[in-house]
Amino acid sequence: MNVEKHLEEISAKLAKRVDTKSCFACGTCVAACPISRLTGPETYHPRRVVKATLEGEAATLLAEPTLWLCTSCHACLEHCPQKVPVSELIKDLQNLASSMGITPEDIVAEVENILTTGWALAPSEQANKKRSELGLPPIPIDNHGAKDLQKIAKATNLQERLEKVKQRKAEEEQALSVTEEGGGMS
Amino acid sequence: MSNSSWALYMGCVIPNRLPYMEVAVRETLQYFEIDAHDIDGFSCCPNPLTLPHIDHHAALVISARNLAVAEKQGMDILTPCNGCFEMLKGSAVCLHDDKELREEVNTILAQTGHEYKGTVKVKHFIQLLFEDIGFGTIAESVIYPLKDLTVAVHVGCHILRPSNLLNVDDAQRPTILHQLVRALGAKTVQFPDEMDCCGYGTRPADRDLALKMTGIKLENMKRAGAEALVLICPACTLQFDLMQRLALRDVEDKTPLPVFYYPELLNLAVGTPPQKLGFEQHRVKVDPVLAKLL
Repeated sequence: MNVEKHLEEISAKLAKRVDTKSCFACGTCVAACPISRLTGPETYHPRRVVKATLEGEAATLLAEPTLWLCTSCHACLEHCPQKVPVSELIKDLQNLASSMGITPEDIVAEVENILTTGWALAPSEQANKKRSELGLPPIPIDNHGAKDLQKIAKATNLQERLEKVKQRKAEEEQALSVTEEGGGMS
Repeated sequence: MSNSSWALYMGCVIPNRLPYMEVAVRETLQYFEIDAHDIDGFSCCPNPLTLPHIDHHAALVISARNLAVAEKQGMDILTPCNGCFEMLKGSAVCLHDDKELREEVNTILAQTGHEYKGTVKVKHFIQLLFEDIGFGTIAESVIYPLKDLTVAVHVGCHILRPSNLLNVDDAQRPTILHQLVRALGAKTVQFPDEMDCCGYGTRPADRDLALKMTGIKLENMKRAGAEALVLICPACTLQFDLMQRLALRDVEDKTPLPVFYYPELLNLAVGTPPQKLGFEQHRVKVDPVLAKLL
């Protein structure tokens, strides 16, 4: 994987949409961020993400679990006096982390469900029971969507990234079991 | 009034987890005689909180597929879900404005037998209420005013932001939901952090942090004198209603705050029988407020 090339692409794309370089480090994005307010800026700090990207250091953020705390409320982007799309930048960095196999399990599980069933929440018996109590018909089941979505996943980077996440998890588990075995033998 | 015929995009959270919201939407559409239809062929929007965070380009293509499904029927999209709205409207705007991007997306869509020409408009159901039906018509339709009711409102992030794409209301000081509630005769309060996220967006990464955000907001609403919370988004409803007991675990004031979906209150005010609306499916009991209203 070529992280530098990815970062160049991100910068080029963001530069096309809006100039990230216009960040003048005022910190309004941090003040506007509800996550930063609760975790403390030492844990989650959107301006530092912009700064690291501008300085070509974004790769250092990719393994940080805190990169995924962003709640996607876009308050940072909306309040930025320079219109830097901070939340979009964070999303792009998360995409880059995914291409290295780093993504929270709950997100992966839901995306796999979307590709299997066509929906984030697939129709269930329990849901249809609640619906019938209200006089609503059962949710129609249509598998065409899922098949199309699988094709789209293969034609984009989505499928590859999901596989990368699985591969990384398997490697980590293997490394862990080797360590445990080694510990047992000594 | 728009001349559109609407394809109703219900999403997945409302039909599966919160079907009472679907009832309120359908009753409202029927009451105001809106030309909206259920059509075949839609898939996940996809959820803007998960799939685009792995691959935002794949999300755009999946979203474009939904737009193409509506376009083929000659319809625009009407959706009551904030998440679906952000995803579909954001994609529709990008694909309308950027021909090169549209061509790129269509190269992939061709593999699924779809093509998107860039013509579909996407509207939030709440936007339909104030833009197409109008505050005046809503106020005139009220036969049971919700007087003596004071509520907090929570609009939700994804109907507002990013405002350059969604363009529904002032993204920092929105007034539509306040006005819609007042059109029914109820009062609204203002509270600190009114514009903050409900917490749902950070759930996949940190459940406890998400609940903490919900709990703080609930406390602020009650402190401001709200007897109930009125919202318009299914994800916010999962946080504020289904998760409320957990969210109140770590805050001082554990009094429950009943949660209403705005169209439920609208239906009550225009005379829809309450038995039709499925209030028993709310997690936090709404009886104290209903007893006051009915």
